[in-house]
Amino acid sequence: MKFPLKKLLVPLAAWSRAAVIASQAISIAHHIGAEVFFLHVGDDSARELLLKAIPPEHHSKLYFRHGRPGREILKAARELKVDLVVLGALQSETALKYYVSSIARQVAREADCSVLLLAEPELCRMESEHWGVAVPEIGELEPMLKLMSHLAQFAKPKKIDVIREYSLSGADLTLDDDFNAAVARAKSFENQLLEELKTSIQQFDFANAEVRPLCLRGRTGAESAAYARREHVDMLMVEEPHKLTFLDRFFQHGTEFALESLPKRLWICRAPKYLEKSES
Amino acid sequence: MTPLALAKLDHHEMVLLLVALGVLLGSARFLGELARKLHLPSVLGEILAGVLLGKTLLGRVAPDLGASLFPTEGPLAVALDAFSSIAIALFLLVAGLEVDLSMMLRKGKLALLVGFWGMVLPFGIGIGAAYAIPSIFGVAESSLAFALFLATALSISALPVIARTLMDLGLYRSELGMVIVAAAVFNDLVGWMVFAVVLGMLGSSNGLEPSQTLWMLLVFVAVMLSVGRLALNRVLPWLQTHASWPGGVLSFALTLALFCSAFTEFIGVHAVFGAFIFGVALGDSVHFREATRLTLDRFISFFFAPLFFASIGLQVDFIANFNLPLTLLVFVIATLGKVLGCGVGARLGGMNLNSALVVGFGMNARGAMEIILGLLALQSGLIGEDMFVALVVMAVGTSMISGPLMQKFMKKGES
Repeated sequence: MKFPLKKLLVPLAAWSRAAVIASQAISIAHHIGAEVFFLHVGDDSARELLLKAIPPEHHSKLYFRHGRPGREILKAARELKVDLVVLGALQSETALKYYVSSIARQVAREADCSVLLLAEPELCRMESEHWGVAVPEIGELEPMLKLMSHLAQFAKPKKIDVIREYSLSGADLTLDDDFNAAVARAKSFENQLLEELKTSIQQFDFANAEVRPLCLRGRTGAESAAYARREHVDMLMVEEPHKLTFLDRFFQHGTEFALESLPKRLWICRAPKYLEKSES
Repeated sequence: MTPLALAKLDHHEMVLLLVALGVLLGSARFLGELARKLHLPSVLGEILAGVLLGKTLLGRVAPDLGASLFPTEGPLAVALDAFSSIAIALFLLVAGLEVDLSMMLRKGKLALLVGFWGMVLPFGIGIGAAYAIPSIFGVAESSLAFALFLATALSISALPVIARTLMDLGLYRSELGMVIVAAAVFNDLVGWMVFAVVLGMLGSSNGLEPSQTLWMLLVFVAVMLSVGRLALNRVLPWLQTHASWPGGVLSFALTLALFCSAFTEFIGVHAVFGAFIFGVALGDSVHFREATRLTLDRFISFFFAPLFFASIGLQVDFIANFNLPLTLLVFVIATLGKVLGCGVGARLGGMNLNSALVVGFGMNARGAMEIILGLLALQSGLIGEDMFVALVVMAVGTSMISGPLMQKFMKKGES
């Protein structure tokens, strides 16, 4: 089985974590059999430092550009037709920075492809990790599960939590209802979601990972992000097919909750176009 | 008697107040439960309790008893009115909690089209009807305030009723269901904003000009939905860590709701709007736990809401003020406007005709929101009692037919 992601782009800043981020990205690329490109946006003074950070066999894939970092990274990703951008990011930012948007988060919000943010880039094995994947509230679960299944074959995580968030907006104001009935209805709703999740999960092979379906009630995006932080999940995968704008930050929803306070690794999946390219 | 003595309930009045509240609450809950057993909304039973205890029945059969328990003037009336006002403000607080500001962004163009046309078309019909045939609505000559009120009354939807209907039909998790909920959120928010503007236009008794009231209203909404939301996101986690649960958060929520209500009442808009907007800001916070929300719901639903809905029934004589042609007209133009408006929006968004009709009838449920709107308009002198009765009947009627008609068009679509 070939993995649907063929090209990775790793923007590197001239800082102490560059070597770790580069190693982590190379490790991921090695696992999934992808080609990796490195990019630095800035002046040439960082060249020596970055050449030390990257193994010699990858030096030919190190590109330098000038201009606004966020824009240049997005442009490079489009030109190289990469499938995944891997970036280091701060776990959380000040309120102002959150709304103004740092480089990493700008790329996460505006890239045409998937983005992997490394809040704690460490030299760790992907085997024996605990992952979480947040599947869409409504619509098809299969694309996300398929991608996770692909990744699991190569990376062999120990545990995968498949998270489905749901909300019952408007239905709590049950002035015309018995609250016991309302609680029972919510429970039945959750059980139905859980059954659907289990049925979908059974269709895929996740290597030998322990796969656990979970239904979390609350705001979509917020619950999975909180869960990932609480359970110290090594990687959280979320689907975000659309680019995010300031309005999405202001009226916070979905992926913005995870971007506000990152788990160790956040994989923002813009999945459908990549799975269309996948070979079975 | 000196004014100071009038301001205090004497022993007899205190007894009557407690008896009146007990009778209202007990009968509202009893009839509400009965309605539920008959698969009708319990709010119907609660309003009926007030109808029976008010001018419609008790006022006719035993007028002295009715006047003693539920007087229309004096300290006892003031005390009952105060309870009712607090009840409605808290009810709108809970309604505000259910408004998900990000819903429109998430559901995108289709929800926006349905929400927009679902407001614009009935709004236009309301304005047109207000100016074309004001006498039918009991108004000698239409004013802008009345026209805007009628437009709002025809265009508002009831998010709680819609959500419940969708759940019962198993549509809540469907794309169709989510579009309807998102559009209803839009309707609720815009509808209340417009109504707040209408109330502001009527002027306040504190000497503020209507333009000043409107400016202060806009600033209040802007601050609450921006800085207010951010502040709540910082305060709530702190409270949840350092204060008792749920008491700490509940007290905080109720205190601020009352302050916001006081502010909007002060500027001449009405207390409910302050509570509603605060509820929107509070409900938007991811740190406001579901369990706290449910506790607040129960507290308000089981005590304040029945009192409030029963007090609605006390306000007017539903038999004497029932005007069949007016009620039918209001019902028909409300339904037509809403179904057509939302249907047009749905069709423009790419839905087929059956789905568009499902959306239209789904959005037509008016429920408690319409009733509250009507009550506030009655209290402000914008409408007469017969128009209020027509609005109540329309609200209840549209809520009851919404589910069955949605089901009918869904089945038609499937076949």
